[in-house]
Amino acid sequence: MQILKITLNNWQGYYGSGKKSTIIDVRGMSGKRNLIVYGQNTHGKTALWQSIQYAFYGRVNKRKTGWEDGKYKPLVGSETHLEPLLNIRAYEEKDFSFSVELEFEHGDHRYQLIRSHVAKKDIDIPRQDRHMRASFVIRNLENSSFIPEPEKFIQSILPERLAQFFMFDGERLDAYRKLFEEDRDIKLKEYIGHVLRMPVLVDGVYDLDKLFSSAKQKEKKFIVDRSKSAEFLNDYNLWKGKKDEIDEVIKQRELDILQLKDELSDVDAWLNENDSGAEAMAKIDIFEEQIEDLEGEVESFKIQMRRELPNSWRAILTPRVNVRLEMLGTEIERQEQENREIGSLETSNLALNNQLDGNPCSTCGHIHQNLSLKEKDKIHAQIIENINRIETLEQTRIDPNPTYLRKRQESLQRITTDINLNGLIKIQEDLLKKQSKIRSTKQLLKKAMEKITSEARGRVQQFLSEKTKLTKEIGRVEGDQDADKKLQQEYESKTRSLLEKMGGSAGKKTRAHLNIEKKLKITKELRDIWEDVREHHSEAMRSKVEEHSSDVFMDLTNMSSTYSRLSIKPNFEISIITKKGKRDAGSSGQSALVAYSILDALTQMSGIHFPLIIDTPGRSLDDDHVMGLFSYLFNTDRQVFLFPEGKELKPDIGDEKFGSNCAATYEIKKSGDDGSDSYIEGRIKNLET
Amino acid sequence: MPDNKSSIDILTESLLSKAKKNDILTDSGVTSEHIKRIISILKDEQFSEDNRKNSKILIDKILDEIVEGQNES
Repeated sequence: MQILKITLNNWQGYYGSGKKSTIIDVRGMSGKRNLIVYGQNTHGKTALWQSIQYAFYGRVNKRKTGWEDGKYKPLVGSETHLEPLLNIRAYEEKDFSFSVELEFEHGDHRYQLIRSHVAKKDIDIPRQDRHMRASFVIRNLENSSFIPEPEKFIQSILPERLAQFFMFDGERLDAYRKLFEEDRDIKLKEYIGHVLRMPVLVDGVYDLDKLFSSAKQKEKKFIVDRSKSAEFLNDYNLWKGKKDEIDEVIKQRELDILQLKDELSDVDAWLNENDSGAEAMAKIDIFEEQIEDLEGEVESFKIQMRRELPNSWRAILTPRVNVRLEMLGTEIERQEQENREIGSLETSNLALNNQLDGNPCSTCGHIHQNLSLKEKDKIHAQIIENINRIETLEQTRIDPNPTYLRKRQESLQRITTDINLNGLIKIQEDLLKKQSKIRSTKQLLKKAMEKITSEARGRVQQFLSEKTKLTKEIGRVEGDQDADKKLQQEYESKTRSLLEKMGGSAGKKTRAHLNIEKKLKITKELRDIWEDVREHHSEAMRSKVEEHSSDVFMDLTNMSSTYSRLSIKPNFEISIITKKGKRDAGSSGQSALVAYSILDALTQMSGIHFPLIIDTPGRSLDDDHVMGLFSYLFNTDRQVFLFPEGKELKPDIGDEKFGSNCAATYEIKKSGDDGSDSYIEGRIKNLET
Repeated sequence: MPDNKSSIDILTESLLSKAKKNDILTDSGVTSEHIKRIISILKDEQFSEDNRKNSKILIDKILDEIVEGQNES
């Protein structure tokens, strides 16, 4: 990434926006993109340096407190000592908005970044950060599209945590050196690891370990499930064996049926070619079958008739017996009537005698008193008449003998039947019809047989017989096949059921089980190579940083005759090694060079392309080292922004020595009655026209 | 500066080289592309605490993809 242009609107000491905004153009000719901005202390170098931090991350550290203390400059404030980001003059003029715009190149595209803060609508005078509304956009200038997640995009260019390696303050260089040396800033060591991309390996090992453990858990579950399924395995194998066997039988039988049907087809083809003979033969067969059926029916009728004939005499006698039975019935009825009359007469005589004797009536209890003689004679006469009648009835009621009459009646009743001679006649008629049908069918059979010769009939007979045989065989085989298919379904059902109980594995590992095994194998191998590379990479990076920083340091130091190299321990503790192999503490100037050397090595190794933006870069360095350092920095292939203080690098000397390496050089000036406004004045311009 | 290779270039080369020499990985269908994708995930997720959880999920997906690819081949 390279910055091409910085535009400040009401940013800290830089008053003015719109047409009066502060612009620093870095679009140099021939690809020159370096920048020097000279400025005396308090003129606004740091504010300029911070404008880039604000543009990228939306906040600005209080200068001396570093990147990790979480203390940031306020967005607004009315007093200078608060160091608000909104220009105080603009604030006083009630222009409550400030912004920083960056134009930059990243990859093959140019982008415009605009980050701003403006007072919220309902706030008259913003006094706290929460009174301000933030806005942040990045636009791709090639296609005018806006980047959807600008913060994420910026983090992908340079994570904020690593920004301190690219944007640093020369005043803190000595502190950097001490931190490296004394191994007390664990966070910084961690960031060194980040710059060297160690987390790609460390986190990779961690993630792959976790994934391996997770896969192992899944594998265990599969193993447990599989062991549970083993108890069903024997049954499964038994039924599976049966199923396989019957599958084979069915398959073979399918072939047999096909073969039989082929043969039948051949027979049918022959019979079709010999159609008339075959037709006659077919008719013969039909007639013969009909005759056979009819003869069967005739026989059946004959049996029925034989069963019915023994009752036929009963059917004939029944009318006469019925007449006799009627007569017997009349006789029996007469005798019973006479018995009832005898009873009645005897009761009457009893009552009449009671009258005569003056006794109460046996039925009503009435007593007849003082009967006259005439009345008495009349009663006597009636009694005698009744007695005579009783005697007569006694004679007739037992003639003929009632017992004989009853037995006779029973005998005759046994003879009678409800069978009707009409049924027998119907059977006989049917019998005659069937016999007639047999005769006519035999005539037809005779005619059919006359149509074919004996020889032809023999051949046709042979094929028809073959056809019958084949048809029957096919029927039999298909019947067997149906039965076996039912068995097959049963075996399938049993094996499927057992398979379900075994989790579908059939005692074998499931696909998911096999997949997890493969995954485990791959994860383990990946984890091992990640671990292997991690172990070696750390040392390889240390060695490269040591080598690179030693080269830079030896280029820059004016004590190359005394020092031989830098030494970096695995924990990144750094030492200067003399030619005699001893450690040397080094002066503060040498320490600053060590810090530069390390920062240069780390940023180069990071693979992150971001400008080196250094505020007061020559602090702690003497003139010789400053010139050597600047010369080195401007001759690397990275973009470098230097904001030197007048004592570090005088503008005239800087322009003379390094102006040709830069797109432009600027100088910060002060203006205003109280000298509080900063503004930029261009010096060297190697800008694109 | 002996060469201009960054740390990420060097570790990528090392991982690719080791993966290429690993018969189990090559037989399983693990390609350079898979390795580069895993590196890219870990690199992108390096500074995102929330997304560190995602890296495992994303790597897991790649592993599943490799296994599926092996099944299909």
